[in-house]
Amino acid sequence: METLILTGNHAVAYAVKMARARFISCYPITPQTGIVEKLSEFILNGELEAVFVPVESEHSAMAACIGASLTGVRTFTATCSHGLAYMHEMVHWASATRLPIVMAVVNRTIGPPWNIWAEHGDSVSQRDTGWIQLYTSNHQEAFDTVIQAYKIAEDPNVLLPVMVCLEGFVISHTAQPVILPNQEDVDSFIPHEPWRHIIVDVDNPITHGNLQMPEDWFYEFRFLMHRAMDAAKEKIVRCSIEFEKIFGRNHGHLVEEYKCDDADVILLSMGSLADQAKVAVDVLREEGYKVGALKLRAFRPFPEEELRRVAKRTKCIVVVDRNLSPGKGGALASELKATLYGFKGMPIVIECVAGLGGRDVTLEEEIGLLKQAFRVMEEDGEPSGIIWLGLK
Amino acid sequence: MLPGNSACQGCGSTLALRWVLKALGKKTVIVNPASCGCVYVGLYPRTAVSVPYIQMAFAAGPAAASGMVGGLEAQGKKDVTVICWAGDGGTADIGVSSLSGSAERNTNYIYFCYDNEAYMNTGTQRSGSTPAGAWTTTTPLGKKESKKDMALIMAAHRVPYVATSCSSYPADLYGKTKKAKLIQGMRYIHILTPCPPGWRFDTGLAVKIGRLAVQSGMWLLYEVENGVFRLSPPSRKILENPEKRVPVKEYIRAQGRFRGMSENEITLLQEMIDSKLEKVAELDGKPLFF
Amino acid sequence: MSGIFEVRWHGRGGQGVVTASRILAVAAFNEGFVGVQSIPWIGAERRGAQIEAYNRISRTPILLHSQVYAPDAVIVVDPSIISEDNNAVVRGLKSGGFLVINTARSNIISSLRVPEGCSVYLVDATSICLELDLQVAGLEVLAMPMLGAFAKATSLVSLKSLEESITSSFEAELAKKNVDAVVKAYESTRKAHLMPEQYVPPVPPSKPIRIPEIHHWTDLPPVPVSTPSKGSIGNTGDWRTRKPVIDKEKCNKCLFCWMYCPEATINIDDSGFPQIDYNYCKGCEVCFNECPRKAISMVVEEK
Repeated sequence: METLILTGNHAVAYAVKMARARFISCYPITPQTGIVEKLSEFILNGELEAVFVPVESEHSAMAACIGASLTGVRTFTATCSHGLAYMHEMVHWASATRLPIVMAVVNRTIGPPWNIWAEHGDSVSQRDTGWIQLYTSNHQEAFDTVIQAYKIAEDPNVLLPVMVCLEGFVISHTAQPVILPNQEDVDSFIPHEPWRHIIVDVDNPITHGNLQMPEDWFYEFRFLMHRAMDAAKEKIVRCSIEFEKIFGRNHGHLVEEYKCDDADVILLSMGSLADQAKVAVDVLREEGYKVGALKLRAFRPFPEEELRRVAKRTKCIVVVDRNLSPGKGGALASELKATLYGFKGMPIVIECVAGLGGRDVTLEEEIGLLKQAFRVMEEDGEPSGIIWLGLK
Repeated sequence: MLPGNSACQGCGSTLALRWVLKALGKKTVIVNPASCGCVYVGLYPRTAVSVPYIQMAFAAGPAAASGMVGGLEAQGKKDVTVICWAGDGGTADIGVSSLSGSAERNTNYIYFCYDNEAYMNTGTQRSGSTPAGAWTTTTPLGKKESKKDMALIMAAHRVPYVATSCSSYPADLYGKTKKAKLIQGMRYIHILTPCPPGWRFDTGLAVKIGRLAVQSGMWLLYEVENGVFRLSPPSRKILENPEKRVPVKEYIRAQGRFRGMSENEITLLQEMIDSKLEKVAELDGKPLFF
Repeated sequence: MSGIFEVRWHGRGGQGVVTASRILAVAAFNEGFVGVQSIPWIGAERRGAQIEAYNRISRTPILLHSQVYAPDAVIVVDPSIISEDNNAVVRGLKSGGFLVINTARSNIISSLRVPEGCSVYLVDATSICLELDLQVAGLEVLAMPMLGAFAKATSLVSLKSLEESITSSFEAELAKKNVDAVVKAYESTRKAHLMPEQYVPPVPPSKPIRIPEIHHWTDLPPVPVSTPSKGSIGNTGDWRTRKPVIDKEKCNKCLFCWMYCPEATINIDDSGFPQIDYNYCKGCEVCFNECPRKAISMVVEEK
């Protein structure tokens, strides 16, 4: 076990190495490139025994991972932004083939205009592809989540690909200490047992993808994907608990609560903003405000019961979305409201869109948001539309 | 290839696939990007091919094959041949970037393009591989532009083996596939496969039409092995014995899709073919590129 | 007529079913029906593969968009579909409805079972097409004459409306041929008289079950994989209208037929002769054309 000061990108690369991915295919895109460069280096110097295929597009990167995963090997790719959008068709293909591919998404905004900085919109807009989406808040969590992702994806009851999301530059290019576990511990945590549900085997020839008529079983196969997502919820929790037993830390399961027990106002967010919200909570607690921070790790499967359980105990949830669906608002706020609707004793929800195009979100801004929530409650008013944080 | 599949009557593509599979044997894996091939193998839960056959998104065939080659390589499995079985739209249009990438990486697989010269699976729309003069539903007056020459484009990638063939010449196709199987690296075989509904001719003429394409010189059978261009016997025969050459008019008039071509246009086409054959005669046995 | 009149077509790809359904919709509109609908059922449509199409005809606009399950009329373009499964054709057919069948053969009539109160109309559409050379790419466009038979049976649309519809759909020469076919069919359509025991209780409407071995989602694996099997789409021998027959006297076992068969339906028997698997032979006629000894003849299929 050792601790290195690593960028978020390198933390991911180390995790992929320690997970012993055997096949990697990538196409360069800022700010993801650091991951694939580091992995190439690991392969070159013999630290990682893997086949690396430098493809000509992200669409091909995912297709190559699909091809390789069909032969039963552990695969990895990384992308973001336009690359993820370009890959979109194959993102669907991977999950509907139920292949346990792991992909790092170094969240970046989508142009035009060109902008290479952090925003969750790229992965959020892949919401309906049938991928498990785990959002990470810091370097250690990015490392640990990649390791966990293989365990979750390869579970026979799950068999769904996983996106591990970390914000561009904010995490990818900044450096922080990362504890690297012992290789033997990682090996025993994620032993590789090839999946059997679909495998290219010349002795047992099968065809995958044959046409199904509307009255056949297509609908049911999609239903099975939904059930696998339900199974993934349990698996994510169990995996996180098991991980803590071996490695001594956890980052929350589906959600992570921070001082939520008696909080009147809770700030819900994903990624780095959720880490920072803990500081905002500490500052306000000092001032006597009963506030908490709630971090959403799993955006898919969406932790409805966990969110309701927390929500029931509080009066107001402020949702900070680093993504925007023009014409509606932030995705997390929409999904939270849908989750709470119709249940008794649910808090008011205040929506905030922040940090688009990589605009920095400061501690003071998060503190301000929480205070604003108290004012809304005092006025006994209803939340009035989206708060556009720092709109000039 | 098993009978009772959902190919149209007289399908040139299934005839070609039959012979390709005979040549490659059981230890073969097929990646099939969207094309007629994703329908003619039949409906879930049955299939007409007795080797692994992985259907793939339209533009993703070569990349998925690259992944499969890589995955097998990572496990040290060396005795399996990975092939991509794609149509002309998947090859010349939407899949060309992925195909070119795999060729540039010299991925160890065989790419087969079965060329029925339009998007037949969606009901005959023009593709980059549709020849000039051909009617399609999107070129109701006949296509104005020429056919994209994918085999030469692939040869320009300097891959070790490129060949053209035709479903009407099973022996030629079988031989080239056998040969390709023994070569390492990216191999490309482009097969002309007549399509009765799309080309508008009676199903029973499926083999004859392909033969006319070759006998008229409209379609050339050749190999480019390590950069050296070599005509295959059926095409060499019409070069060496001009009396055995069939006027292209016979090929054109045998199909409904060319009904919009005037006599004048056919004469021009004949001149183009004659001039092409002269140049080809000079190239035979020589390196194709500098 | 009150309410919606629903029609279900049964045919095979390449027989013009979808086109005929469209022409019927236009004809009904010409006839003054405000609500008309033509529903082509595009599935794995291949020449020869079974397909269905539907029409709805109404005095008021139609808001239904689902397929037709309880038709007032069923048009059977290809009689072999009845021989395969009588119930597939009459399922959901309303008592008092119409069954319009293309057949030159009387024995299909004797085996027919129809819901009580239905009337059955017969027309020899195949002969009409052959006589008028109404073919596209070697297949008779059997659905066209069936429009005439439908008009005669139901009196829902007139010949005049059908003619207008056809004229607006095809260029002059082709339109005339199609109109001739429809008129001939109209004139030669006759009502069939069935034996009392041929009338059976109505077959309830149902959705087709194509994969009987799977019953419930719990039977499914995570991913739909298909396994190799002859007849991956069924017995494609039904697609044939003509059947290749090998004359062993003339055959010299060159096996060109085996080599060129696109379907892999020709095997080699113990004595080296080619042998055709008629379960799957689609009747493409490639072997007939390629046999150097002319040892293969095409025989019209009796269906």
